Amino acid sequence: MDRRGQISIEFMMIVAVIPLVVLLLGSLTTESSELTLAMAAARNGATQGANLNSMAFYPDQAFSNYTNKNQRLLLPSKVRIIKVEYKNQGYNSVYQRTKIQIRVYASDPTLKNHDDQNCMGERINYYVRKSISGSFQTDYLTNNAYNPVFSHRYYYTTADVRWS
Amino acid sequence: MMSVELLLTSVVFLIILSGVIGVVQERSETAILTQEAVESRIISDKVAQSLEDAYSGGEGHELMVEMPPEIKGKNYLVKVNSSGVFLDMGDRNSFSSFSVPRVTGSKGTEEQLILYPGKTYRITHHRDENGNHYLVISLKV
Repeated sequence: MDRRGQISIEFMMIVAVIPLVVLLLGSLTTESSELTLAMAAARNGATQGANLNSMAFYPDQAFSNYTNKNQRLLLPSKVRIIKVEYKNQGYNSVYQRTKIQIRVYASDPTLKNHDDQNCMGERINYYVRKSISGSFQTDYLTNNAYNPVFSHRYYYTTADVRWS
Repeated sequence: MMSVELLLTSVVFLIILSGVIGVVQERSETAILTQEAVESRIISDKVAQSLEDAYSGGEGHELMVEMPPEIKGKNYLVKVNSSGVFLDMGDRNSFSSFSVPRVTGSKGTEEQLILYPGKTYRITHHRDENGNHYLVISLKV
């Protein structure tokens, strides 16, 4: 500012630019934070699925299905989550959100049968999606299977669990 | 007057908090569900193990099994038949197997027995006139 009480053009420019930069950074941070939170929720869901599967503690429908077809799954197992990864699959104009595909890598040395692994994997994926939906409170946007599941800027699907 | 720094910090804090709160709720739910799963597994395995112990103990062997009053504040039922032990929590179930050929009640004709929370049951090993071994579960009075 000069001695006549006027502010300099530089100061005006700085004052004008700073809010723009803050808004831009804020927007980028919120977007990145949303994905970080979604992945935290996904890992939590995968752990929940692994725990409940390990204890063989199932809802009625699953319990009934396994009693008929996958009796091995009624007994406890040792499911471990190795990692959870995601892949950005681009913007989808139908959902008006960016699609994120999540893949869980798990291991269970006691589970050899491919069909049993598939059932176990489906349950883990269900809990991954449910956890994301619960974290962003977007249950009203999705279906009973939470597939796909939504956050504000993204929607999520799960790929088949990879067993090792 | 509130400073701009405090205002900005509060806004950022609220944004982060609103995001994290959902994840925290989910984690809390995971912990509760896992605890329920573990407790139900412990109960069904305990009943199955008691049946195995009574059977392997031979004729006349007797032991008690005490059912906890609840699982994390929720009611449950344990159903025992010749194929195994089923723990039913209403919306969730677990199963434990055993290798006892026949389990029945005090009448000797029951094919499925229900064990209720908070009760104690007596398991006794019997042998019929044909030499077949079986277990009887009866309520301890």
